[in-house]
Amino acid sequence: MPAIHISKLLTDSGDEIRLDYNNLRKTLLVIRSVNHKIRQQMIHLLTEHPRLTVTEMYLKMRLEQSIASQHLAILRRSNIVTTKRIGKCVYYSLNKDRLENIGSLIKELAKEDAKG
Amino acid sequence: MPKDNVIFDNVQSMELRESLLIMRAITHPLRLKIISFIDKHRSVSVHKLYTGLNLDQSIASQQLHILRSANLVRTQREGKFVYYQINYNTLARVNGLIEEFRKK
Repeated sequence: MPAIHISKLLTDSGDEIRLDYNNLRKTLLVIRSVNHKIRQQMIHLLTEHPRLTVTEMYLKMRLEQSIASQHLAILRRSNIVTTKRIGKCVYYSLNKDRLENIGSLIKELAKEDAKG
Repeated sequence: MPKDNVIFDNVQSMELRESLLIMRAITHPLRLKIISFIDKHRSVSVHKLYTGLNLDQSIASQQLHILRSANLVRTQREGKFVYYQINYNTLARVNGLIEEFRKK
């Protein structure tokens, strides 16, 4: 779907509004990736333990490995967790800058919604 | 575990819900088309919208309700008629926040 251009003269700032469905969809997917209990628990766990393997995570969280891997993959796609291979093990860590950016986006969007 | 209402970085579950409401409202091809149509005509009735875009009235009303809940459009009543207009400042700010986030 092509981007939609909205009359810019009608906003206070005079900025152009270019609505791009693809950008919107990608951003929605990022926000949705933190909208899940298990993924929120993973973020919390990685806040307390700077790096963990999938095995450590699913044991601590009492999840099946396949479930843990699925949710980690979603967090990885949003760039909220990063991986690092050390020897035979893959370690997961939190991308704190990314998480902070996502957090401020959510807070700012919520302010706009609250004005309605 | 963190407190029930705090998700991470002091983001409250309420804020996550509200941000998703606005993101889901705008991230929708038909609703983007509706936004564009209202913008072109400045102020439209439901009737003008569903005839102009060839939609069922019930679908047009439903989509307008979602856009209005997210504060992306507002209504103005003139006598018996209700007209829909774009809430340009909200739309500009929301889209600006998203564009800024995508650049990071």
